Amino acid sequence: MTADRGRRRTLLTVALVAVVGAVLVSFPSWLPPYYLTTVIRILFYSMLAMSLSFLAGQGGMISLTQTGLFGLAAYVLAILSVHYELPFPFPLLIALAGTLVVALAFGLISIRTYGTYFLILTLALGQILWAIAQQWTSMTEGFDGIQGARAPIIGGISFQEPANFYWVLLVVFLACFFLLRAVVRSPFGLALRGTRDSHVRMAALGFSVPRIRLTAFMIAAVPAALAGIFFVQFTGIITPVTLDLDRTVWILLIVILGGVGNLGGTVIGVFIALMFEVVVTRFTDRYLTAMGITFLLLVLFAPNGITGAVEGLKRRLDRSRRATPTPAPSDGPPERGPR
Amino acid sequence: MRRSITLRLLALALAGLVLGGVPALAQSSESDTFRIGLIAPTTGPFAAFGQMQTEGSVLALEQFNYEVNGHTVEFIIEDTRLNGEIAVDKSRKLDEEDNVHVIVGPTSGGVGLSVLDWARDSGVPVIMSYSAPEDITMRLAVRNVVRNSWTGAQPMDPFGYWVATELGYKRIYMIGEDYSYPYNQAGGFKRGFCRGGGEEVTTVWHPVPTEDYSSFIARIPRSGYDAVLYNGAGSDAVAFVNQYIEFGMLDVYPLLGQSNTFEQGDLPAMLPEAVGGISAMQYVETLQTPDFQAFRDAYVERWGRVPAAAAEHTYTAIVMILRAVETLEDINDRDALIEALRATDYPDAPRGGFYLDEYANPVHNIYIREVREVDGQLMNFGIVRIPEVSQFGPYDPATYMAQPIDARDYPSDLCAEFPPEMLAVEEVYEFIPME
Repeated sequence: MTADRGRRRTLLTVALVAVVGAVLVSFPSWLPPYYLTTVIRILFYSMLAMSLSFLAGQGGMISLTQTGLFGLAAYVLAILSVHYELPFPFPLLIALAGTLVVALAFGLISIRTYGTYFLILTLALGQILWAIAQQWTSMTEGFDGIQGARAPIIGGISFQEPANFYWVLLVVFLACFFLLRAVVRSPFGLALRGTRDSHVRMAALGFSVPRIRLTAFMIAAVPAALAGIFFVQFTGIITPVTLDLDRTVWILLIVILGGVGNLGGTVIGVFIALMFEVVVTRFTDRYLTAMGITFLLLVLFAPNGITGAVEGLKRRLDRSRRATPTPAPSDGPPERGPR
Repeated sequence: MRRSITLRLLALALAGLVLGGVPALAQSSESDTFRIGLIAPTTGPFAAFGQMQTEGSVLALEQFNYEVNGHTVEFIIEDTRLNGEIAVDKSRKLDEEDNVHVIVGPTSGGVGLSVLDWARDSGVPVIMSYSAPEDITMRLAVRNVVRNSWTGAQPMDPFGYWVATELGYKRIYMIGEDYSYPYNQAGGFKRGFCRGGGEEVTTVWHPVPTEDYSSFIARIPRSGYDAVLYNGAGSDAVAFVNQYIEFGMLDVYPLLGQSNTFEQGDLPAMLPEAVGGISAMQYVETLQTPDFQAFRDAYVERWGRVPAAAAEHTYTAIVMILRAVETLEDINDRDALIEALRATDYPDAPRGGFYLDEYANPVHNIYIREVREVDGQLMNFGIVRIPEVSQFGPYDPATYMAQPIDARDYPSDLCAEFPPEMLAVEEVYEFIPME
């Protein structure tokens, strides 16, 4: 009986995954063009938000450098492809590698600090990148930014075509999502959560806390850099505004909205924030106010974000269901809450 | 458990997206309305610009009763927050979802260049009503992008020439905001100034924004120059001008400004001693012509305040569009619309008549303006009008565009180092006193 039930659930999951997958893949064929654009933005901003969500949720490292790394990758790609006109794979590879080198340097500087100090230090590092973008005008064009970066055309397939661009982005996004999830569930993820909860005890147990934190920082830099690469090739432009404090805080709010550390929740957070922009601006100029109030209510009533609230609700439902003496199915133990 | 919640939420999100998408499909645009999109910063620190741009547009649309050639005109405003990425996204939205026929707006240089980059691929007609990078209508010009405002150098070239020839100044000390618009303004000024017989424009750049200018002002040599030119705008200009006055510098050198230093919106925040500040622009809020007075009165009546350049520029952009549409047989004929826009001749424009050159940038009056006090209020008054100034000044387009783009350190501060072809041209400017 138990095996049967398990199989049924697996089957259901497979079916659900298949349906979701089919819908995701088929978007370009039926979504209106502007909504496909929005989905593309959701995907690359999700990769950026996941990077922060992973660091903050699993490692307790609220890093305000992630938008800086995102912007850095975008700038490197734009500079190499627009100013130096390097052919296709090079701007992309150098952007990724360069960003990881900078992330390593930033990681080495910041991983020995914790909590608020880590937050302030990463804020400063992110702002250094912003200031460079703003003021190194001969390289970055300052205020105006760099225009003209485009996705490549490979073997006759133009990735400037939104549909093609979307499919590539979807694959990279899913890879980032599931790899990050695998990291979270691995022994390394457990050790990382250990350093989050008590780095002193982890050190006493013989773990190298700095190494664990640095590794996590480097892992998180990958989706941020990739997101920046997709971002600049899609919008065609990069300006210092993309790296500024507003954007950084925006991403942080999205992560809180979705539920810190929950990757799926983070994607939903980005989805809600962007759809909010798209839908609410139809009715009012004051969409920023509406968004602010939403965040305020959320922090007051659902401090663990949307996924936290949903899980809490489900737990309470389970409990009340168990309390009422309905004839429960005799097989298997009652379901427990999450974790 | 966690996984299935996540998956279910994702599924829910997808369902939401589907539901969100359906109304978009349903509201597919009607073919008998003519749709204009405005992208402007309606929130954030530059919201005042967005508001003036909105007000100017709405005034023009109301004068046409939201109607052209028997078609209803639909007007859609999107907020850019002065961010190029958001501006591009909103332009996409206006094109792909609202199917607008034309987009008006970009406010800053960076936003303008970003939208230009998008317009090049999308082919949607765009009118740059406030964005001033010269390359939008020069080295990067595309057919579907026209401009009815100005380039950074356009008012400054005749201004520099006038300062050198009429005021007889030889050496100027310039302090400017460190970004591309002031570079272009400086470039225009230097070219005109050097042609007119000037010797040197010493240039110093400061980061944007700067609140305290004491170190910059202290570094100005107290002799050897004829004037100081402040090449910045907004809160920076207010701070600089007031500190310049408080340091007693007006007794040392007179103060000149770039086109936006003495913006009418910033004048109330300046000390009364700012009277006498001189600058040059294609707009002056106290112009005494029937066309301008009619526009100003209508604006004051509708919105309760005096229009600034940003308002006039979107007003004229809308009028340009509607007049162009009046010549069309089919409002959906994009090519014909672009041709009609590029052929704009607007003799009764409030700022003074203008037409577009072959690169689709206006050729119009430049006014040399002086700050005066009227009933305790500071205002700009036109003192000299220079008719038919082109973005290329007196140069032919090929010579001009063969030069590098104006930058932090280009052109040279020393007139002796200028390339000869930039000095030896036939002068075309005519200085007409306005009083």
